[in-house]
Amino acid sequence: MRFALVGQPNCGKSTLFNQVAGYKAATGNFSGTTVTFTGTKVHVQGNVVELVDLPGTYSLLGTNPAERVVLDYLVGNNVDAIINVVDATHLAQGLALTLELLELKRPVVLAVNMMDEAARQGIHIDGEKLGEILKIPVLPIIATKGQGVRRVFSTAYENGKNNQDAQRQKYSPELEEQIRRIQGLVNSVRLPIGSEALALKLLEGDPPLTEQVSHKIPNIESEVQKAVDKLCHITGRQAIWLVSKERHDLALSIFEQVYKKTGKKRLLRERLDDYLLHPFWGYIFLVGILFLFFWIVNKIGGVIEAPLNQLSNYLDAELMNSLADKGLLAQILSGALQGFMGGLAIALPYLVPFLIGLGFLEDVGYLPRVAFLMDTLMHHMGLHGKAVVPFILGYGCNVSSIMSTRIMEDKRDRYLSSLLSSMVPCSARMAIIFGLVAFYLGPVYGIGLYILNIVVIALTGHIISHFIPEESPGLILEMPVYRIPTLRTVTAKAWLRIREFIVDAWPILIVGSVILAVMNFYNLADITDSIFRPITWLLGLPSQVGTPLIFGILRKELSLIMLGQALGSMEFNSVLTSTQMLTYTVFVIFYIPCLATLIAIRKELGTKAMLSITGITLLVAVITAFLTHLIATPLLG
Amino acid sequence: MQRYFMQIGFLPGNTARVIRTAPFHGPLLVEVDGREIVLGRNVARHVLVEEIE
Repeated sequence: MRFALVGQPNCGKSTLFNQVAGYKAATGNFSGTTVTFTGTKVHVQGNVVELVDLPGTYSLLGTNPAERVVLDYLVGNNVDAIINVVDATHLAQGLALTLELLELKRPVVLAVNMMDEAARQGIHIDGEKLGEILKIPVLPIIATKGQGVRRVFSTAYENGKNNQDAQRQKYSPELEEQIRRIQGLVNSVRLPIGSEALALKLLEGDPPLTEQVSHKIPNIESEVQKAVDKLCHITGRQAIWLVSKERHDLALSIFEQVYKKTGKKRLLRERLDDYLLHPFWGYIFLVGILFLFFWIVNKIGGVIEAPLNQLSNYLDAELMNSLADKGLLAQILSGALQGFMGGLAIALPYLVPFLIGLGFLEDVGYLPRVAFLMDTLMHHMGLHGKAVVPFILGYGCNVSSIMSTRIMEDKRDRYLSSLLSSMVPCSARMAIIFGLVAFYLGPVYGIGLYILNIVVIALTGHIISHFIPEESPGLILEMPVYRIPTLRTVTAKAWLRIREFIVDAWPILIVGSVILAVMNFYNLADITDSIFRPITWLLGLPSQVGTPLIFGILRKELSLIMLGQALGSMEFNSVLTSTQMLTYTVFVIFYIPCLATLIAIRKELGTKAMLSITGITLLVAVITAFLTHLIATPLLG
Repeated sequence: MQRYFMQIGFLPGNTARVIRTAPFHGPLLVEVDGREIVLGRNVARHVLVEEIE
């Protein structure tokens, strides 16, 4: 048996999903956190059920790639029960989608989420009455706390087993007539959705679906056009508007029958937004919040890094002493030790507080507020406020930022935001900024690099958008309410990425260090160094950094861990000048996205986009690092 | 674009209220159907409204 979770953006589908699946799907308090579907197996009443978490969507129209996924999934796959999650505080809008789901003629269970938040706002919803009107089970849940979740699944299971298909509500007679007419034509088409739903989708004019049906019924397009013309003649509206309007009005009238609000107090959200979205204070808070965030990460990380670094160097010296006569073996062991300690001492101390902090900001709902404040600045880069989401996610991991560009409607916007957000220093590069520059030169330089990074990205965007002008209409984004993150979701989210580091990245760091040790032993590193020689020469860097840079494309952390090894010391200030540390880090921040990011770009936007992004980022890196070298040399020496 | 407006509740006959605007000719925060939506200026330009109250 298979269940699908469907609902509007930010209604808590993924939170519900994670309640039963463990932490598998990314969650955050903004629209479009889920851009593709995630599946898991759950046990319901002793049976194994496949549960699919679909991206949030306002309707089944598929206006952007993430929303397209939902319609394609429901049309292409047999789903035994649909679990429709609605946000109790936004019930009226949620019901419009519910009505659309009822059209599909599959068993539907309505889970009304965020009952606690609704109660706080004085909202009362008569679930029983709602169930009577819609003729489907309506169950209250609080997904963040797991309340009511079990009942939703057992009800979905019962209904799915008994094939209790939902019945849709009736629309206006004119519309019903055309639905029946089209339905008669497409009766022979066998799809997992009913012929009525198919007729409605065709009337709304879904291009891929029309195309699919026209293979079987060649004249379908002209027949649908006739129906659309007829409706337009009677009602004066395009069918697509008519259908939406009827669903919307119906949803509103149902909503009014079941909704009661007691006491209208000024919401905390409005009071908070008065400050956080203030034309002046809003920006002060923005800078303050980000500054505080990085300051805390830097403080915590620095305290842990220093003693671990000493330990690492001590262990390495001991190892070398006791195995001095063993040659290659000593080198390999020392390489493995440096890879291991590098991950422990340099990457993890910053990664953990950083991810927890980022998870907190995501869950509170601050990111869409940043989008609101930054829209104007983003237009100077040829993008709009929505691109703030991939940018901020990029500080965690560039792969998730590439995936999140799916929330943008326009292909050109997706390309540009992918290019620019891949230059945002992810948590791996953050470790380099903090572990190398902030640690040896001082935190001011670390923050300076972040500011430099933003300036360079803005400039690049500005220049690129001259060649590919902005066409998309701009920002449309829903502003969520503030939510207090639960410790569990924040730590679970951080753990998801930390585990990824421990399982995927750390072994690569160790293996990479061992490979470099072997290469050093046989003097092979010279060959790989020579690939980057023109660049390292230009930037005034020692030629040995070429190999860490090449391996850095695999995993960005390698360009730090292997750096210590290539230069023969983890005490970087003894082997590199301040300028060199700065130049190297600037180069590492911008040059070529890591392999995983490149693969993601290729999957999302194609090989051409991947290659051009590789080229552009390399060029940006060389220019920026060269300028850093020129400017820093007389100042820092 | 049309579809997009429809989805977020900008339907004929609906009421909307501008709650606040961002500086430097920034986006508007608009309330529709009890939901807060951020609209860029270029998008907002496409919304035909009639002033009430």
